[in-house]
Amino acid sequence: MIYMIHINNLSYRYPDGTLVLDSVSMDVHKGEFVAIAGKNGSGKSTLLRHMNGLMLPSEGSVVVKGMDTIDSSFILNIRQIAGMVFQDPQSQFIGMTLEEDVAFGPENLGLPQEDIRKRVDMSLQDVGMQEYKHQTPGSLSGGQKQKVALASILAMKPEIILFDEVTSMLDPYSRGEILGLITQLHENGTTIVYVTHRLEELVHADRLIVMENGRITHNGYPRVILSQGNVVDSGFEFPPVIELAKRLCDSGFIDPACFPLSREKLMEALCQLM
Amino acid sequence: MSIDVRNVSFCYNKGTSLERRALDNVSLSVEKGEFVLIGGEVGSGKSTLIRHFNGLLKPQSGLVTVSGINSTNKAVRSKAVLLMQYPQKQLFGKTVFDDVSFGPSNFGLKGEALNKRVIDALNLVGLDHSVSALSPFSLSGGQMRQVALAGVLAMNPEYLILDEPTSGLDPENRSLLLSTLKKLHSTGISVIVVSHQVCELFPLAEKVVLLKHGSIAFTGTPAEYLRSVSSPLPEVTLLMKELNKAGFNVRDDIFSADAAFHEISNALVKKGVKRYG
Amino acid sequence: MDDLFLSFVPVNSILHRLDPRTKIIGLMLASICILKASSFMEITLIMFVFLILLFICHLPVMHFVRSVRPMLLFFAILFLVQLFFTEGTVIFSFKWLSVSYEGLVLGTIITLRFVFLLLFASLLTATTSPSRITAGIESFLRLLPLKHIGISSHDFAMMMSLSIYFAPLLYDNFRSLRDAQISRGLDIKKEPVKAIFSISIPLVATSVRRVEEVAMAMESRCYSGIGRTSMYVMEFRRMDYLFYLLYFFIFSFFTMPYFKGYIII
Repeated sequence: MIYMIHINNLSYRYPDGTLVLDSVSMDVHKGEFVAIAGKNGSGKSTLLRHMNGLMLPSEGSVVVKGMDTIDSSFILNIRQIAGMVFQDPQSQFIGMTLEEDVAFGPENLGLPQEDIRKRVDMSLQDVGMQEYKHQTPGSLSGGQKQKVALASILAMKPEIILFDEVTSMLDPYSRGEILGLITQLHENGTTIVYVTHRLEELVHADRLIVMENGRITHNGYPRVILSQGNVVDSGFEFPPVIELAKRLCDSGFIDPACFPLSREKLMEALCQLM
Repeated sequence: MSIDVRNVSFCYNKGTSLERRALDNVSLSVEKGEFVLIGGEVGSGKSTLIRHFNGLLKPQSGLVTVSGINSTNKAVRSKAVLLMQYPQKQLFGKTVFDDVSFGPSNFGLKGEALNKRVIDALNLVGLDHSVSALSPFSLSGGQMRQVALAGVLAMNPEYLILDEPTSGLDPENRSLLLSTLKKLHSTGISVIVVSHQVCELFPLAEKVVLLKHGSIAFTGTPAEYLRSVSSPLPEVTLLMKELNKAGFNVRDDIFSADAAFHEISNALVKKGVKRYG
Repeated sequence: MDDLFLSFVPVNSILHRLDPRTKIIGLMLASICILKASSFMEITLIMFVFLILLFICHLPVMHFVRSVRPMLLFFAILFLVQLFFTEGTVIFSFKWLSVSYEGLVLGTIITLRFVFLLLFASLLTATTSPSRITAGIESFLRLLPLKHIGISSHDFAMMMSLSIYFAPLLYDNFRSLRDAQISRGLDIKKEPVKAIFSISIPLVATSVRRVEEVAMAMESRCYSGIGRTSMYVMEFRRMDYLFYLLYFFIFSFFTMPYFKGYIII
């Protein structure tokens, strides 16, 4: 296994002394899809922001592909390798048109004009937004903006993409589209770290990390963790269909080890019973 | 007593090259005490419609009345109160008290009566009155939203209109909000919720309105919605429909986990499916 | 989205394709001509130039009308001040106010000067994306010895384009806050002071938060202020040289005293 991110005994305090992360240790392997969940204030976004050096540890260390984030000479390298997409689609836009926004990253990398153009076109195409490239962000929906935010990270050719509750402000349709793009990236080998509190988004995750009060409480297979009753209060959203699945598991119709995390999986499980 | 929208049409940037029709001959009424959901995709005209309810927008044709008063009259603003999307952004008071009292004091409430209104509103949204002396900017995001909601409740509205109130909320704050809305509705206030996720609010709703391209595509009860609208449907309903197709004999006009569990477990027991454990 | 004051409208036209430096220099020269214009003849010529540019920029006339509209009050005041406070042949008087012929002429010319300044500026902003404008300005700045006083021309250009980019966001924010406070019973006309506080405080608070978020997004995408390249490489094409030729003729026409002799009001 190759470590993409290696976090060792990481603690983080706000300047006023509040402990946000409390000796967290975890690894992310190459090609993995790791989901991080937890209540608001559990430290999950803070943890994510350590993974590309936006925040630096008070104690402990974060190493991205062999580079310690505390060493400032690595920082630009780290941020190129580990791109981050944020929650609010509105405030990630840097530029008047989509094309300009997507070009911002490659421009910072100091690439020649030809390469920048190529990357802009390609990444907009990857998210299906190339036809809008001369438009201003004001004319886009939240979901479209989030796709552009993803494209602007793809243009930097990252190996890891960090997602910070990127679907929480979107409508269900756009949410599905964004998730589709992310799973596709994962299938093509990109390492994904995904912060969420939506259970149904965990279907594609290889591993789930649950956080509470700045500590990791669970770290393992999503299905196994979720079939244990005690994580229900860990800030997950239980949509009715998952609640139904849970009750069918609890009452013994469905094997808890195969806890279905989506409508499709539940349908499969029920058809098998027939 | 109701909000009456009759044949309302509205265009943005009327008469320019950027003209965009947002509402096309919409008629609708919201009775006093009703819990109404207004759904539709981005750009279907939901936000434009609710801005007509409290007179923020004036109909370019047609008529909107609130309890018989024309919406162009400013008096409607204390009856039909609109809480915007991400309302935590609108806080500005030095203290929570200042902020919550802004609405009612604009309508002339003073002194002890004002005090009581503010405290009652804070209680209603589940905040302790001790927060009233704090700065709203020192609160958590979830609490700021509660303060913003209290700020409109303090105006004692007959109709409370909320624009995408659950968007960006975490599960805990979402369920808190939903229970607050339920409580408000039970006190006789009309609650009108605009959302692109109407389905998650079905358990609370009495009426669902679906907008498409500026026109009303559906009005009726949630049960009627499940029978006559093909999308968007709640996940549970979709599952029940799929099960029906696959040969299970279950009701498909339900949306709650509870009802679905009873249907499915009965069907499974009838088939003689064995349980684990 | 509303079409905004001085906003960029992306279409394809000769003006859009010009090098930003050509357009910036053009605006500077035009401003000199406009400020020098002192007769109706010259104003008419400026209008003529503007109409030609308007024709080749493929933008609706309404866009420019909207650019001027927010400033109407300013223009009106400017005009009235000249009208009433210029001494000369009185052509009309009412109580202590009197209008002179000279005032009428001067008022009209000065007001038109400002109108045209604004129109030419909006020609630049409508046909050039802010990042191209900043790229253009940055290349002019590079000629100045800014490095010696500790400012990188990249940072300066970034600062400029960010502030341009923030304007529509700020306006959007302003509108939604205004709607929110009106919904809470605010009467802007009756209580302007209350309106200012209840809208500007949250506007500043949300803007500060947004600036923090944008800064984080910029950092995430490796912004460091040095070693930046641009997607837009600026180069002069044939059309640019043609425009410089035009500039030469028009500008010399306006500045040479020889021609002035032929212009009579």
